[in-house]
Amino acid sequence: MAIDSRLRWILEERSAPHGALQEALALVESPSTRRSSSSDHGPRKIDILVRGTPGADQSTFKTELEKLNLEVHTIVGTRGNLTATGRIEIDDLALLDASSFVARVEAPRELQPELTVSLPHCTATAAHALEPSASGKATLVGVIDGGIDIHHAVFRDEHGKSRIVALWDQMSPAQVGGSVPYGRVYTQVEIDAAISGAQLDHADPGGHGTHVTSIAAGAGQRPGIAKAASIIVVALGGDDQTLGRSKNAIDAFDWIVTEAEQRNLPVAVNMSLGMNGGSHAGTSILEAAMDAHCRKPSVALVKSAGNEQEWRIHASGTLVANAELTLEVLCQSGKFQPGQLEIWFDENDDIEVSVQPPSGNATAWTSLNEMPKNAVLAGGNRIRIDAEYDPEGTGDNLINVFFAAGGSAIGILPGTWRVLLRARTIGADGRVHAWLERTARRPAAEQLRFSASSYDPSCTISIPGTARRVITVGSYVTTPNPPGSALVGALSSFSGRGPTRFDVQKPDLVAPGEYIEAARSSRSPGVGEWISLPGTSMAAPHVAGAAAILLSEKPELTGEQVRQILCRSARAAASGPDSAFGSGYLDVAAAVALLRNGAVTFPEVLSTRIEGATFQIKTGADTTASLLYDAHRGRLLAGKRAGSMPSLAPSRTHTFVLSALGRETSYFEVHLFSNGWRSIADNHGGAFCIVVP
Amino acid sequence: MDPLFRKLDGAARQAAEGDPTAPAEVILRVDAVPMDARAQLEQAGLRVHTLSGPVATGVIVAGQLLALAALSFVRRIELSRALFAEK
Repeated sequence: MAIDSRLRWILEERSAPHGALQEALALVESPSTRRSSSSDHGPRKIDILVRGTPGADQSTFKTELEKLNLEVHTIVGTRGNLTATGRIEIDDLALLDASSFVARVEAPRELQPELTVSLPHCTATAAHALEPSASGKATLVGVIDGGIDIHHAVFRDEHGKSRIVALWDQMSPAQVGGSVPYGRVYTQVEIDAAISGAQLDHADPGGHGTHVTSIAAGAGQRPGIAKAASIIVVALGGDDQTLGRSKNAIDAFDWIVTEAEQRNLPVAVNMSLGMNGGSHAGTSILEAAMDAHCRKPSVALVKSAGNEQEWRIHASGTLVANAELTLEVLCQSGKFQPGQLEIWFDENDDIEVSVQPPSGNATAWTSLNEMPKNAVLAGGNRIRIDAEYDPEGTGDNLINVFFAAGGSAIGILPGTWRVLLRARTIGADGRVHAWLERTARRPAAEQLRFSASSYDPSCTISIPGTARRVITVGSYVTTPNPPGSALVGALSSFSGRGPTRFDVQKPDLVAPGEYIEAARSSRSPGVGEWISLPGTSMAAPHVAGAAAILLSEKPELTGEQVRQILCRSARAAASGPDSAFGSGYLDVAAAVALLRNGAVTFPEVLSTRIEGATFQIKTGADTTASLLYDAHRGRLLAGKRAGSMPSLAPSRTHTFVLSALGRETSYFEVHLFSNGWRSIADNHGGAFCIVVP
Repeated sequence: MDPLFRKLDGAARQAAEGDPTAPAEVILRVDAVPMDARAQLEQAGLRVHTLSGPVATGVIVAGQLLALAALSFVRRIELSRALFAEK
């Protein structure tokens, strides 16, 4: 039987008294959605959707449907995957039912207003319509943000109960005997009581967390992506710009993971926040904390790529002997907060620094061993130049330049500051990358920027977005505002770009982020239940919801595996995979299809063994393999490795003899490949080590 | 430079040079964490909030930062930094 049960009922009632047929028809169309066609005279017609059987091409399919008296409106898809829409007399439904070209006939269903156009764009609507629906059932969506409006209807279930299972408000006064080290946790029971009128001292005055959460996991009238998931929230607090601090984010993620484990539920966590400080190699402490959890089954973390692309926060250059490299830093009038410039370079390059203010004398050249160095400049501004040695374990050093007003009434001297670099010795490649730390930008003058001549538009992903296992999301346009101001599908001009400093591709993919209409916190600026906002903050929760859906389908997936599935199923941008779009546009339905079709086959490591200078790894199925090694002071880092030893013959056993490398100590990990899927054996994150006798 | 000072990031060094009684929120990179790591961290003056995998967090008075750095399994100490909404 090709036709669905609603159409079958209509067929059965077509010769019954008029009222019975009308009752059946009411299932498939309402007065507000009923369309009339120029051919609507005579016998009663209805709209339908038809899926074809494999084999026919578009032209044949259309011809065959028209022979069956279907008024064809649209045909989409390719051979073997064709869908048609059209209008047909009720009596002729039986013809479709009997056709060898027709696999399925459905009556259309009424659509409800959704997150404007973004859900269809990323095929979340199609995923919801699958049978069974892919909508995040039996998962948690975790949100680390400013807070949440617990009263908003999108966070309630069909019975009016809250879908928020727990809320840690880090800014609340601590509860004596509470389960968290600071702030307090509100339980689902307490939240439900608050919905019924009890006092609960939490709000989301910024509105950011409410908006983000409704995109990832809203339900009801305007559902989000994982509309069947439960929700767990950590409110970091903050004002309309800042959202907590890096330490609080680590505490928050750890708490959510622990809560999810205790509830035996997989969790996809969204963090639509970031900062610019760090080496952008995925190795900061914040990123190490995130990566450590994303190695585990049932945990994924999604992070916005950041909106730094138009703020000129990154510069780069290459030092050569006997020449200075100048980084021009622009300071507008009205900057009072301290500023920070981070300069990263290989530890085998020896660099010295001088700072030239907009007026007055430059500081003396300062070598690494003279740091920290404090200087008071004309006008009272203070400069501190400080060095950190291998702070992230990458074999790279860091020079910090701190700018402070020094009590001056005019703030930090406006104009062009020149940070001069020169090499004492170049032992590596002389490459230098610099980032300006983010500050609160109201007014915008508070943000230091590089000049047009110093600025480098790559590597603008905010931290912790360069972490290896974190799913980093850029933004593209689905609803230009004002209309026509940007092309639908274009990368948002603000969306942070990769790659990482070690040339690893980031962001991982892009999702709708400009503009997205979603829930508005009642305590935030504006009116009404909904508000339209742009940002990678809005793109990330589309992917967090998608990650929850994948974890609902297969809870044992790790965050890294979810990342691979989302990247593999993404629709490629015209430019192909790159550091702007990553792997392409989020495609939720395609990601679900990969899982449901059994196309996801991550290699399984059965055992590893080290014997002398030989490493052997056994897998559950044939794989190819590549051993990646790096003896850079014993660290193994993606993108900064000495080399690889491939083992390209498909096998369940791969053996590597590391004595061939000709050195005493090698740290390494093994990447295993099967049908394009990758698993990494890295000794639980610590890398394997062989000391050649 | 004091070798222990090298474990501190630039902001933590400034905190260590300033008011020794000022509270500092810190994040730590830890290696080869011993069984009694939490106790050692607390003994060094850190009020531990999270100890998970390669990372610990907590609050400490600035005057105790070098005592914290003296623990062999503490590789690096950073002052907590502000995060920003990306809207």
